[in-house]
Amino acid sequence: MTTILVVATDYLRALLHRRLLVALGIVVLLITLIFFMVFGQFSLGATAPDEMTIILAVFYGFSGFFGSLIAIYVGASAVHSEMNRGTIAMILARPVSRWQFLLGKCVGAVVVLLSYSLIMGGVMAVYTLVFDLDVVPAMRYAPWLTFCQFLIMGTLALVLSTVMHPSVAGVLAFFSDLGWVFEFFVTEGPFFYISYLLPSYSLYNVWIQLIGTAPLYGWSDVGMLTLYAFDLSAIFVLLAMWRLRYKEVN
Amino acid sequence: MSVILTEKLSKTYGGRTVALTDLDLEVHESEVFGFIGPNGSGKSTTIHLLLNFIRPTSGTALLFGEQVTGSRHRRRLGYVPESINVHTYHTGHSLLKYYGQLSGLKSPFLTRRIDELLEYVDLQEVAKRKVSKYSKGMVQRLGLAQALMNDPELLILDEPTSNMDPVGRREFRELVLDLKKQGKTVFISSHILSELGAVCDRVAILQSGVLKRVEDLRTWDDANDHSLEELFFATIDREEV
Repeated sequence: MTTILVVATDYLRALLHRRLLVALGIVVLLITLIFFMVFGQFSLGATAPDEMTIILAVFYGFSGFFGSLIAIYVGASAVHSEMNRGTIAMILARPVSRWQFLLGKCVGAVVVLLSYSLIMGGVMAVYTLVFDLDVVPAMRYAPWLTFCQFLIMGTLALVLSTVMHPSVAGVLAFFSDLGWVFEFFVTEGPFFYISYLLPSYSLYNVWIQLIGTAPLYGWSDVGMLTLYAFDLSAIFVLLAMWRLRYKEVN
Repeated sequence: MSVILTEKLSKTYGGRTVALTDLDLEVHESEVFGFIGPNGSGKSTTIHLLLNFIRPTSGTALLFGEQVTGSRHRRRLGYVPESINVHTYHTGHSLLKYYGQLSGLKSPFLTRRIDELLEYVDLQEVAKRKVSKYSKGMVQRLGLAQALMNDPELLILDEPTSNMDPVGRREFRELVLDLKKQGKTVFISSHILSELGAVCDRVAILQSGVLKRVEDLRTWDDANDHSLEELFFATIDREEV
């Protein structure tokens, strides 16, 4: 356990030194500030509460998009960067097994994604309180569902990065939600069953619920979606572990 | 006791490129063992197989009597790779702390050990400086310090002096002799024969993935008035190089 935590802590330290991630963080911070100004501007006028919720949903959509990029980045670069730079050799020459190394990276990534989701949830709560917005039920579990979505994306990027270049893995992980293809184009026939094998992100997009007409989730739905995300992520991590077990380090 | 033991160890890349063929090797406790051969002879492949970085096509490799696929025996070994790639966002001190923690060392012993090693490799002045600001020689010494972190019984050195200046090479030679005095087992791969001749008890000569000869320099030196270089050239097939 100690070894896993040591690897996780070091991964967090490494991520803080990645320019791309720092740049993404700055962009998210700027967007947060811009939305503060937007909310402030709208709250002065006679804006309907519904419109304020839409602005909140847009903010949520933006933060979710950047969060997805962060999830993909931390997932795809976790093992690949160590392999590519050759730093993995001095780690694996120690009493560190490959699964401990991988789990350490996963723990580090989970800490980043959970922190991001909680911070974004906190920002939404601040918006709600400061600008006296109507609290819709979906907002209560939005940070958690967002985290679940990031978890699927990140672990998918991780497993794909063990078989292909991380940038390709990242793009594939981002666009791997092909549920819409089956919803609109392949609604029946043998190919429809492929949809059950693909990860789905749309279920976790709470911002759609904020502005849409779809019924809001109850806690039991949230529980099922959590189980689905954890189950899928566990499968991806196990696949990555299997790949790493046989991967040659030079 | 055999610290390193390989039996019919072979490695073929992609089903075509043969890197190592049926290597039978035994390295005993407290001996300095030189592993020499021209470039591409399979030295690094052997080391990577011993460290379980790559899988053998056939044969077995044991370290301290255990299969190399396990990780427990790695508490007893230190490794210095040919090119030392470390996380450059660390300082020298924090990097050693990281490797020490991975080796299972705990404070206050860990802190004491880091200070000892930084002094040993003469990096205490720059311990708080980022590794990215270190010179090549400093990184090399840091690489050596990390390998000694857990006070290993076996030290595996892959071309350790290839990036060193003459001063560094001399210091390295003194270090190996010092480790020898402490009773450590040292496995050195190199193609710089003059260095190995001065420190090794035995040498193995490898060419094109095939073990050509194992010679005990302690007895060979006495019986022959030749250098290791002559032994090397008498063993290898020059047309193959």
